[in-house]
Formats: sequence, structure tokens, C-alpha cells
Amino acid sequence: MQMTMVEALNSALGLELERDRRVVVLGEDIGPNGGVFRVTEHLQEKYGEERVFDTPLAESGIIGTSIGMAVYGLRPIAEIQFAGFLFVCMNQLVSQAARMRFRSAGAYSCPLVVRAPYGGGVRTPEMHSDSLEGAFLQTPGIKIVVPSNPYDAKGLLAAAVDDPDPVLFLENIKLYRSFRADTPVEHYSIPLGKANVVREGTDVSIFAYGAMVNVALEAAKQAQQETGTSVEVIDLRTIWPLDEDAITASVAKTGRAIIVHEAPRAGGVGAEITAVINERCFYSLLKPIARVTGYDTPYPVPGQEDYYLPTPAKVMTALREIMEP
Amino acid sequence: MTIQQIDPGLVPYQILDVEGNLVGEMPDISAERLLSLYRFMQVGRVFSNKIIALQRQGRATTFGSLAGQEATAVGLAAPMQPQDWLTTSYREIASLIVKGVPVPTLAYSFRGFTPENWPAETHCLPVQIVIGTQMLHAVGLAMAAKIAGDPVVAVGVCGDGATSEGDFNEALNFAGVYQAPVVLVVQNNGWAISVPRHKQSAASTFAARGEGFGVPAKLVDGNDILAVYDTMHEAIENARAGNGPTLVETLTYRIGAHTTADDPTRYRDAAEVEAWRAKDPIARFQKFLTRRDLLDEQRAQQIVSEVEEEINEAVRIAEAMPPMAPDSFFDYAAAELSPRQQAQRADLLRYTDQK
Amino acid sequence: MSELKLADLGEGMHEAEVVEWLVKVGDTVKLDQTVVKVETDKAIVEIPAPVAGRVSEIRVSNGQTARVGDVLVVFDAPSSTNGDSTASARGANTTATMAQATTPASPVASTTQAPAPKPRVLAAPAVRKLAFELGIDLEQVTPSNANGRVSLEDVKALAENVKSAPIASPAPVGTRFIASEPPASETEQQSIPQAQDERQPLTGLRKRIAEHMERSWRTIPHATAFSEVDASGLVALREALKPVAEKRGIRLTYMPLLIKLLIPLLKEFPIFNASLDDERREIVYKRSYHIGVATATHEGLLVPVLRNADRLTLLDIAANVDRLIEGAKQRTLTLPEVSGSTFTLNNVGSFGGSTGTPIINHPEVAILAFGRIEDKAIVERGTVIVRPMMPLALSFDHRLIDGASSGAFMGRFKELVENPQQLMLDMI
Repeated sequence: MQMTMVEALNSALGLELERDRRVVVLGEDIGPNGGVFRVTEHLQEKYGEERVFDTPLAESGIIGTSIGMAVYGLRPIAEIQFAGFLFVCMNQLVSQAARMRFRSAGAYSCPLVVRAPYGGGVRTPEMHSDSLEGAFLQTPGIKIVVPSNPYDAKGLLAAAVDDPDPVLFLENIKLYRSFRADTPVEHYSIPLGKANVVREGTDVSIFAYGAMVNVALEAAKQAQQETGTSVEVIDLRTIWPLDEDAITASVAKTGRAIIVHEAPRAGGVGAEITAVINERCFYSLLKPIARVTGYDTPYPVPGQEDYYLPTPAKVMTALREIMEP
Repeated sequence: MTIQQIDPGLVPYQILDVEGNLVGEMPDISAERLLSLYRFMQVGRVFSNKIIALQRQGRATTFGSLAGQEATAVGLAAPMQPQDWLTTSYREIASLIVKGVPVPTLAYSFRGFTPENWPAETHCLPVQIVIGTQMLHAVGLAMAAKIAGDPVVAVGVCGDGATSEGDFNEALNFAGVYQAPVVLVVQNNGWAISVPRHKQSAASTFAARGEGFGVPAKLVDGNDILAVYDTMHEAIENARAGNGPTLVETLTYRIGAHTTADDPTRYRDAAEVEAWRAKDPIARFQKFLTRRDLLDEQRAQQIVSEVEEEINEAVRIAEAMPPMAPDSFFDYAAAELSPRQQAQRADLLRYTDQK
Repeated sequence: MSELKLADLGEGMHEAEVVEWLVKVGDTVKLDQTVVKVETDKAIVEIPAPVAGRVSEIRVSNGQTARVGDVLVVFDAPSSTNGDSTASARGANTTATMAQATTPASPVASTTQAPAPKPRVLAAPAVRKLAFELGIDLEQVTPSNANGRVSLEDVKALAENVKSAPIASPAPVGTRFIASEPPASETEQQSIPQAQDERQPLTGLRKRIAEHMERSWRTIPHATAFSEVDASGLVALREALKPVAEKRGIRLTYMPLLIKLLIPLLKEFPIFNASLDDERREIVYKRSYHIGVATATHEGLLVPVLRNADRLTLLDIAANVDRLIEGAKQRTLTLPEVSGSTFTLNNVGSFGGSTGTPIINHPEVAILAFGRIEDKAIVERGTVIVRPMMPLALSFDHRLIDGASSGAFMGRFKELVENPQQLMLDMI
């Protein structure tokens, strides 16, 4: 069935609530309102207020109580209304959720999913488009998943709920409704930690996630037409842990790597992938690794954000440069 | 009651006065149970002193004394049922012992290791170092119990300092909104390291703050084991019956230092400490039990000796337990290690014979 | 007996002053009884006894300072020391430090230099890897790109050139020169059961020789001129001088004679006694004449150096050469005796060889190998006659020396060998 990402996520949540009594869905405005992006629409109607409920406006409260629920034995799926507010509950995520298994030597664990919309190009006010995933790379104990399309979104969310450890599930706002894709109605799962080669190529490897996958694909098509460059595009899907084998295999083949992400450049996923390539397939490199990213500034106002974000044109520049001898 | 109270006029609930006289209604507790409470309080004190001694000898890590706070620690946990959940800070070791965590397991953790056999069935979360976070966990556990329809109650304990943290406030708020079956205990011992109670909050009492969240509250003499037990019992069963949360503030005093790395003589008065020694929770309970012919000097001494032997034995067991393997922290970093983590573990193992 | 040591009482403490002992020697203490008060930066701390027993010795007195780890007091008790310090707040993390491998001094290399740092070749990792695999020195590759970076194509191109270059030498002989392994035939390989290969790491002198040879071969474009010389004059000279030398206790071989004949040649053709400074791209004309004498030892090739050969008499040369060769074989030579040569001679005849491509002793520019003197049939004025012929092989640095000058050098050398009496013309 053709679904938008919102519909795919809604379908996934419904299936989880249906098949597992332990699953509860909570967050601000997710009940009768169905979530500010309607991802949780009709779920409270169908499954009741006990299992799908609104919370007070308190990110730390949402995550802290979710941790208690997860330890008890439920499977909470908590929504933080925008990823930009993740830092309000950073302490509960980093010092508590990420450490529950570690601190108790496995006596207790925290099977918690935290969903949060992120991403730019949608004219939001301050802090509603920020990409904060880089900070969580330094938090061992939390997986990070970023789907790029409806099909992946549904399957990855199922896998995230199934995971015995905390998962941060980031949903790109621009992708919520930008296109429909063929998505099965029934339950299915896509494994975490595995990247997807969405376009095969032999000259350059582009690693991207979220909305940047389409940006990379756009540039790849252009490069093919313009100069016959054969570009491989890899959708990371899970950005922590990274699928290092997929990254290494691709760079060993092409010798050239570009990483594209909306988040600021410093210390981000691009930096980590650069380090991984350096460690594992340095001798395959023909050119320096390139990163096409947001700038190292705070996220700008709606009137300027189009200049901040990576575009196919910026990726094309990187492609041309990297293909030079 | 001085330093813990902004308003010294407010009278906390009390059953035993400072001299151990019955000034309130005696709760329904058997003689056997009363003696067991007394014993637990001695265990708490002896254990606390022992770990401090070990730390001075280089055999234990940083530890926060619970001397003077035994009545609150024991009294808050004793009325709990086995299926109830307990989330504490680092100053309620005696509560964990009452709930069934073996003393050697706790002693092992103070060697600087994580016990790999923590009894999950006791429903006690590991000691919390990050101030106040455990209050939200307690509320979450209670919310889960309610959703699951289980007759389970959660008890979360924090100190006066923790009430300033956002998480404490969010916990009270959530507890009220969801009418969670939780009892949130503020163990007000007058000091948050060197910051006295009156600098922590302008509220007349912490109990008074419950009103602001729609949560009923009780103010209790924290050095009165019977008052604490009685209050907690009522609050816990109230929650279990579906009547919602309670905020309990116990007034007590931190006789010792904040931790073994702290020197309280720098910021507080010796006279104040002495004044509180006179209100010692074990002493007053002992007087009460003696008057009831349940205890005498000799029997009390015997109990103390037995407890000392038990604690020394627990320390012997803990010190005989093998240290954690150098790489075992990888075992608990995730349910399943990523290839990268596995490679890093192999890297660590290259150095383990060179320590 | 049980010791109470001063522990780290508070997160990073180093020492404490003993303020007051609460017990004295001979007292009996209970377990955990406070025995002493010490003062740290932070506070006065009471320390309890770790055992029950009798105080037998107090090691730090009132007013004295103890460091963490010092024994404060000793008890007579069943041993229960401070236990493992696993709980110590200052658990140090030792990481293995790998012993740094220092670059060994090469006994066959010439003078040690401190070259000015040269900018590295610009090349991507994949290019460097390929160059390494093909044995191409990146510094020899001219980047075809304007950006100055060596490319994969550049490396491959050079590799092709090297492969198709005419082979200057016939099949090489001996183990001192580059050996090429004869390929095993197909049938041989099929019928012979697979034996286990044996591996032996390169160490010691062998390793240094390998490194030196690699360096010579990689940096110097070798060309070799082969010839042979009529040695009858030389043979006669030696026959005449040998008994006289023996009376003076010297064993006279051909080597000292050839060295004597070489010196005026080096003066006549100074480029052969020079060196190319790779870093500064300058030809250094040496004004001293230190002759390297290639010597076979048990462990491998050594080149002891006859210093200032131009100032020694023939007998001196002979005596020194003998001494040097013996010293090389016994491995008793000092560093100046195995370094600093400006030209090297290699008597391949000494182990029965006749000729081959000698490898230049970097950073010299030429090396002369001479083989066993053997009677050969040669043609002189249309007649086949027999003469004692000595094979010669002169390898030279083709960057500095062309075929013409090597031909001239070789020609003049042969002239001197055939007419050694010419030396008298310039004798003082």
C-alpha cells in the first residue's frame, strides 16, 4: 500500500500496540490530538488512554518515568515533541537510560524507544529543526536510527521497539509527507545496524541518512548525466552503531567517500565515518574524504535555512572535486 | 527541630519522643517485628561505620555515612511488600538491606566493583548517584504497575538537596497527574554537603510543597522509627488501594560527613551535631523497648556484637570474592555488542596482564 | 604481623601529618578501634585498626609526615594487611609502552649525514600502496599532473618502463648480487609433495645489508661496463714482489696492487671518487681516498675501509688490507674502519666468481669488481694466444657518469694494469 512516512509510522505503532500488551505510547499532545505531526493519530481511540496517554510538558519527566516503566517490564515508546528538546532530558537519557543495564550488571535493562522529529527545510521556529544526533555518538548505550523513507521507517521502528536497549528514533519532518512509497500493511522488521545500498556505483561512495539520502541520489543522477561518474549512495539507516562493514566495503571499491548530513560538521557522524575509513580502508583512498554538512553555527532562521542545508548543488561540487585526479 | 525546618512551629508527626516515651498511638507491630526493626537499625549503623573504617584503610571507595538516619532508612522500607519497588539515593543502604539485598553484595560494591549478582527480585534499583533522577523512576515504576493492574507500589527516596532538582518536581507533578501508586520520601537531614536546608528552599517545609502538585503530604519525625514506619505503612497501602501518591518528609540529621571525602567541621557547628546526638534514633528506640521489657542492656550488647560479627563476616566474604574481570564491563554495555565494541574488548585484553 | 599503611583518604591525597597517636607500643587494640589522627589538606581524619592485636611498632611519630603507602604502625596479629588496594581512589592505569625501535647504524653505509628536510612526495594512500607493492620509489616518479601529485597512472607507467628496460648484465652469479630464482617447472611442482615453507626474520648484519642494498638499488640508476684485462704484467709484478714482501712479513695479494693502480685513476677521473648529495642535488667531489674492500664474512658482506689509501705504500696497503679483512671476518672492526669509503673494490675472484653486476656502495658513484685471473685464448695481431685474463665489472651511477667516461676510466685502468710500471712516472 502507498503510504507516507507518517502513515507508515502510525501503522507501525498500531501494530506494536496490537501485538504486545507491554507497549505503551506517551508524549505531549499524542492522545486526542494524535501528535503535532499526527503520527499517533487515532491510537488512543483504539487502544485506550491507559496505554496511549498525554504527559505534562516535561521532557525529563517523560523520559524518567519511561525508564521506570521500562524497568518494570513495559515497552514504552516516548515521544519528545522535537529533537531540539532532547537536551532537556539529556541527563535521564545519558546517565540513566543508557546506563541501566551497565549499572546493574544486567539485573535491569531499559527497552525504551524515544521518538523525535528533526530536520530542516520546513520553516520552523527556533530549535524545532535542529539535528542533535552527534551528541549521542558520545553516549555509548543508546542506538540511533534515522529512516529515509516510509518502508524503512515502519520496519526500523518495529526493530527499535523489539530492541532490549534504548533507541533514539529520529524522524525527518520534511520526509513525513513529502512522498508516498510502497509499504506493506502487515508487521515486518528491518534490522538495526545495517546500512542499505540504495544506488550502486564504482567511482564514489556517498554516505547519507534521513532527508539527505534523496539529496545524494539527486546529485548522483546529475553526476551520471554530466560526466558519467558512477556514484554509489548508501543510506546508513542506523547511525549508531554504524555499519562499518558496509562503509569499508564501499570505499574499498570506489576509493572516494563523501558524507552528507544536516547536522553541524564538528564531531558529527561525518567525523566518525572519516575516522572509521581512516582506520579500516585508508589505503584504498584516492582522495581526501569529503563532508557536506550543516555549518558550524546554530541553526539559522527560516529565511536563511535553505543556505545552511546541504543541497544537490553542494554535493555536486564535492563530487566534481573528488573526481579530479 | 531546628536546622531542617524553616518554620520551627510546625510539629512533625511523632510516636516516640526523644527519651523513647510513647507520645502517640502505638501502631500494630508485633514484638518480634519491633526487635527486628531495632536490629536493622543497628545493622545500618554498624555497616555504615565499617565501610568508613575500610575506606580509611584503603579497602573501600567513597561512602556516605547514614549515621543518625537509621530510623528513616529502616522505617521507610520495612512496611514495603516484596513486590514493591524501591529507588534510593546513596544514603539509604539500610533500606536496601531491609528489602533483602545481601550485605556482602553491598560490601562488594564498595570495593569498587559492580555486583554481578544483584538480586533483581528484591525490586531495588541500584544506588543512584545522579541527584533526584530516581524519583522519576519511582513514579514510572508506579505508573507501569497501575497500567499493568498489579497491586504494586513504588517508593522513591531523596534528600533535601534533591528537592531543588527539576526531576524531583517533575516526579511530583507526574505522580499527581497520573495518581501513581508511589510514595515519594524526602529524607531531610538538614544538609546538602555544606549547604543548609534554609538555603535549599524558601518553602516552610518540603511536605508543604505537595500541595502545589496536588499530592497529599506528611511531615514526620525522621528519628522516630515508629512514626516513620506508621506513616509509610499508611501511605504505601493507600497507594496500593488506588488512592494515589503521598509525599513524606522525614526530619532527621546527618551526624556524619557528607561522604568520606568531606570535612563537616568546616561549615557546621559542633554544638549542633551534639544536640542531635542527643536525639539519636537507636538510643530512643532502645529506651522504649527496654521499658517494654523487650530489651535490656545485656541483650542490646549481644545484638550489637552479633551484628558486628555479621558485618565483619560480610566484609570477609566480599573481600574473598574475586574482583571483576578487567573487561567485564563490556558484558553490560549492551544486550549484544557491536563488532566495534567486540574489537575494542579484544584490544583491552592485550593489556590485562600488564597492570 | 600486620601493617597499617596510610591510604588515600580523599580523592587524590598524597601525604598526611600524624597529629596524635591514641595508642602506644604494647597497647592492645580492638578491631576498628581508632588508633591515630592524621591531618590532610582537607581535614583531620581518624584511622581505625584493621586488626585486633598488640601494637608492636609505631613507624611515624607525632608531628611527622607520612606519604600514602607508608606504614604507620605494625600490629602483632594474624596477618590482615590493608588488603588489595583495588578500592584505591587513585587506581593507576598503566598502559604498555612499546620500546621504541631505534634505527641501527649501518656498518656498510658511508658517513652519517644530517640532511635538510625535503618536502614529501604528494601522493594519495592508494597510490603509495601500489608504489610500494611494485617496488617503485615514489621520489623517482615524475607527476604527470599539474597539481604535483603522483597518480596511479604515473606509478604504473614507471613500473612498465622499469620492466621493459634492457637488461645490462647477463645472468648474475653469486649471492652477493641480485639473484633471480629459477622458476620451478609445472611438472616438477605437481609431482613433488608440498613442503612446508620456512620463515626466518631478517636480523643483524643480514638486515643491514638488505637495507643498504635496497637503498643503493633504489636511489642509484646502475649501469655496468664489463671488460677483461690482460693481467700478465700484473702477475709478473706480483711474482717479483711477493718474496720480498714475505721477507718483510707481508702477504702480497692482487688487491693491494689494484688499489695502488686505482688511486691515480681516481685522481684522473675525480667523478669516480664523488658522491651525489640526494637532498641538495649536488655532486660532492671527495678529496680523500678511502677504499672499501668488499669482504665475505660468515654473516654476510662487510666492506672494511682502507683510509687515505693515497698516502700508503704498497706494503702498508697490503698489511692494512690483510688486517681489515681479518678484522671483518672476526667482526672486531670499529666504526671508522667500516664506514666512509669513497670507492669500493670487490674481489669476486676470491670466492671463485668471474663477473656479475656489482651493486654500488651507496653513496659512492662506482664500484669495481674483478674476477679470478684465468688463462684465456685471446687474439693478438691475428694470432690466437693464451694470456692470463682478469674479468672486470664496473658499475657506475648513470646520473653522474655516462658510458663515455666509464669507458675512458675502464680503458685507463686496463692500461695501468697491463703496464703497472707506469706508476713510477708519478712516484715521489
